[in-house]
Amino acid sequence: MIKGLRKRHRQIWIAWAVILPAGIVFAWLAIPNQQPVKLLREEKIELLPDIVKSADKKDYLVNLRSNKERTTWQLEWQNKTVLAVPSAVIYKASLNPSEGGTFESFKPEQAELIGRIETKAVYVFVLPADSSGYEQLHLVLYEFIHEQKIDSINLLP
Amino acid sequence: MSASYVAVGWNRQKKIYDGLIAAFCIGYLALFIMLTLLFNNQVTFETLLIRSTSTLALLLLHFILAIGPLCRLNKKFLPLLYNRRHLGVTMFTLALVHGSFSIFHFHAKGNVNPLVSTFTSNTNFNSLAAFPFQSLGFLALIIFFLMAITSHDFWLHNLTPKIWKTLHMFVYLAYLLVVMHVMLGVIQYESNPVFVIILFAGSAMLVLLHLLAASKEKRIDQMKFLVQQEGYVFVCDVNDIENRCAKIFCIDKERIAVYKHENKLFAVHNVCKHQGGPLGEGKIIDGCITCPWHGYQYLPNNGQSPPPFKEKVSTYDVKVIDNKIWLNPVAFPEGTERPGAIINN
Repeated sequence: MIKGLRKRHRQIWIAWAVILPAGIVFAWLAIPNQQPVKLLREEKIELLPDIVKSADKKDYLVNLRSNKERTTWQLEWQNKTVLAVPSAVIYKASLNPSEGGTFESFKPEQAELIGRIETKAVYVFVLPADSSGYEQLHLVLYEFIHEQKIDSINLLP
Repeated sequence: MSASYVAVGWNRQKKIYDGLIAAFCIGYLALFIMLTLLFNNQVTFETLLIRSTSTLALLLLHFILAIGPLCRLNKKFLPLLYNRRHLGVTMFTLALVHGSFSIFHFHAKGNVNPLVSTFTSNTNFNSLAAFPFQSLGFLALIIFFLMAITSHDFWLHNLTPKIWKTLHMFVYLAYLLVVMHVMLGVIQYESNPVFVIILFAGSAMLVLLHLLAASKEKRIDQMKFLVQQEGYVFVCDVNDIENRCAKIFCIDKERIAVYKHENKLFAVHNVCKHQGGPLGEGKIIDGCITCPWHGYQYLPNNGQSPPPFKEKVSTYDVKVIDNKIWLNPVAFPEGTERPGAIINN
């Protein structure tokens, strides 16, 4: 290697010694706290016995499950067919249009994230306690890569 | 080293090298797939392929970038350098599989051309967390592609070593793009600190190795030779150089290799005509100075490659007085015959 080339190598790696760690640290710090698409299905959850509400669609079956005392809740999501998108997330949305609740006005930042689904499988997500016993449960399936709403589901008793 | 161009000049060493690369890649992919299926049996084929090839390509890229400085720090690593290009092409192939399947998986199901969608589906350039990281990976892949298709000696010769080397130095930019592709991509979703620590350790190792090697080289470049006599510079004692080996001296910004061979001393320019390898770190094999990088050979007395090869390097005058070696740093034209200095026993 000639001297000029050795010097160029040295200069590049001195620059990289600053840029690489800085890039890694800044990118790490930028990870969103809520991790919006992190939640994949939780493994090995035992299904609660009662199906309180249900929605049976062409591509998926969705059940709201609870125990006898209605103190713990689960959302069971069964993909009947392979998703047409590589990955999607489920949001619990408000029914109020002013809160971004309807399908047309849906905004993920105003909704409550439930979890992420990917393939033809059964997914079970633990839901937080709800004072109304999930009288209303409006879900929106959202494709986060292209930021597109795929479907909205109202669960019925 | 060959007089004409063939796709690959196979020899036993290259076959062993490539066999080891193939065995490692197959072993890694098999292990990755088995472990993933063990812990997540719902994973799809596309996801498995995307993740296994990307991690393997990243691992190989770190290994490839470490080979250069490792060789400059310790000659024992030189066999790794011999066929590094095959390792690079393997890494590119894996990155290409990763990139192609990612584009197909994430962008082929819409009504926009997948390549257009890769660059237009996310335009959050002002956000680190939502940065369009796929475009960084795509740009790195283009650099790897250019390097892979020009990796043959045919291109090295026709592009000229200077342009070829400049093009291949873009690998450092590609490495930076890959690191940020990972950090702004998968790490934003799989934020387990272990992944960040592994990537940080890999980058830190590369930076450290390159800076250590650069520091060693800089010390050689800054050698001072003060004692001068009729244009000759005292460099070292005869016993400081082992038989059939050389010592490198940097005089007036030029590196010169002084070889001891058959009770004589010969001096040639240290830079190999092939890829700029350090001739002084090689050995005399079959009567020829042999470059440690890819085996290019030169005759010690005239700096010419033995026929039918045509490479030539500059030669220098050297003399021995009282067991001390004196070197004249004025270069003779490439391929000039010099008598060498007889060592008086």
